[in-house]
Amino acid sequence: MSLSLFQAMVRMATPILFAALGGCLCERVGVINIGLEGIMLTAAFFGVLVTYVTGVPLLGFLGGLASGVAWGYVIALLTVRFYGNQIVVGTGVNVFGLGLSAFLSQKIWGSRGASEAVQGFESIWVPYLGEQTFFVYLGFILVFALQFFLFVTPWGLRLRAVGENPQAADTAGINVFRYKTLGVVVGSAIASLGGLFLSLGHLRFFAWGMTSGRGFIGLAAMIFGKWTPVGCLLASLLFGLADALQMRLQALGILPSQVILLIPYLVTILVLSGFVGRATPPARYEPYKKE
Amino acid sequence: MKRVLLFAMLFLFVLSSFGFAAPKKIGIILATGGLGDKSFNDISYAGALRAKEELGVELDYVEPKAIAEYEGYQRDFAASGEYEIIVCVGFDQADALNKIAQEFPEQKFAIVDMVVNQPNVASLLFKANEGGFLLGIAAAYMTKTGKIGIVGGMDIPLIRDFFLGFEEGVKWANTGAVVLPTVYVGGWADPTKGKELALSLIDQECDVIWAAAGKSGLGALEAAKERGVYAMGVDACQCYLGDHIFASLTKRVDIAVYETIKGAFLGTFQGGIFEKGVAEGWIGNCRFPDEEPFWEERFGFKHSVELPKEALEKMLEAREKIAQGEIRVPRPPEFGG
Repeated sequence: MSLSLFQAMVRMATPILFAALGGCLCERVGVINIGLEGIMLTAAFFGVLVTYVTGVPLLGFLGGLASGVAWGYVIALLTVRFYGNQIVVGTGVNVFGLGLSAFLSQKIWGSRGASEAVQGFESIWVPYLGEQTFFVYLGFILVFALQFFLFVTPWGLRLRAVGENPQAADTAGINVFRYKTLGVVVGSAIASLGGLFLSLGHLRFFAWGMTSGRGFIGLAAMIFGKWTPVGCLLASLLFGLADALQMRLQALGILPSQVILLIPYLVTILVLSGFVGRATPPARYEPYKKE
Repeated sequence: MKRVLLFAMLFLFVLSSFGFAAPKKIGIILATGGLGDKSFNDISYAGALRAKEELGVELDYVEPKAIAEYEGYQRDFAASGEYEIIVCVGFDQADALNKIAQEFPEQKFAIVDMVVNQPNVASLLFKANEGGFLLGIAAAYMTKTGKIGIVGGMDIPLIRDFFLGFEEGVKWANTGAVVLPTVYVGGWADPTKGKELALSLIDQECDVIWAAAGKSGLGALEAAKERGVYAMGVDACQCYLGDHIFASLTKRVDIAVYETIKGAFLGTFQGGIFEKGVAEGWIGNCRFPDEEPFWEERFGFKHSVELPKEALEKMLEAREKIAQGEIRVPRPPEFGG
């Protein structure tokens, strides 16, 4: 495997990884987050907007992250506090994210299509990984931090308990609502990093719909990874590899491009159609009502 | 006496309806990208604006947000009867227009980039392959490694038309440069993938990148900037986006729209297919001396890369030869090539 292919794989896997990790945290507390795509797009937009206004990418980063936290609170409020249907809320987030970013880019840059170029983050050179922005390294660190948090620390145990058996967790004195909210908010914030990677790390502008389904691929990676952070990483790398490989194969010109473009989708279908064995969700995805 | 009065009034009424009939207007229905895209929509609008000023008539425009809205706007415009001609911008208006043009057979319509086979519709098409040919010559002279990479949005005839001409142009320039097999993003709004594809081409030693991929193409331009190689633009002059972009294929929708509107007001309008290229000035390049000032003024910038003199001479020579019919640029079979 050539080095440039490896680096492309890592870059293509990063946004998927953030989405998968974010989704994983949400599902661990019993909330399906269909809205990952919308969260990522909103973060990508606000990241560029704040950078455009202030000229400081770091502030843009914080702005995008704040939009992820805000979405997390909205989703938690609707699904945890008010027992809303998770699929409906998530779909709402996706539609709203598309509409909001289109409306605001029209107002600010006079075009619904793309923003003006802004300053992005400089890349940092690391052996083998090459020139990558800090998002890529942050993704790897986050995987192991989350794995440790979820499966070693007592807080992680409580978080999982809240998703697996809320009644039991409640009986044991854990504040179910608080832990559920925490999981959804932190999960959404992590997903928003994926959007920020696209608009401030990989590219340096916002384009409408630039997430292009990566939030949903993230959900697939999360299921394939069996709801563990390390699993999410391996699954994301597989999807990233399929994408990077597809691009190199096209340039060889040996097969029709339509066939090669199918590869990432074929991998997704194969993976999700039980190729990896049974995938049992860790929670029942129902709102918890106190009796 | 009463009867005389009645006749007098009737006479005056008829007279006034002739004398004071509101002059007809121009209607333009833009594509969903809307104004401000610095490309397709803005350029189309510029053509309508020019017609408005020269003819001294009014111009109304709408910016639909979704494909589903086209039909409603087309019907509203046509039903009002106030418009001499209604210009529909973008291939995705064709289905709606096919219906509306039959409902209002007396109304003149024009559609850009697509064929609508109705007697009252002028379909304006562009020979993009000829523009690709001219750009290919520029690319052949700019590359130092001798390898040129092209990124397409989707593998469809409309895009293959650009690239077939481009590859032929590179060959015709005869500098020994080659074009690597085309890579496709598989979508128009994924700049991330556009950038990765361009990076993979640059990894294969390409030092001139061209993308015809909508917003995905912006990612390819970004990749070229990051790696310090040259890039080229498409549709409108995109050279203002960066110092590394040295030429753009220009599709002069403004000229096509302007000529069609003018024809409608002068009474020479005809329905049918109008497919034009470099000979008629509908397709060009932003580095041609007759076009460069137009684009630089429009976007408020100066081209910073010096195009080799020989390249420009060859391009002008090719333009002449294509216009004369001495060079026949290949097209995909779907476009009669």
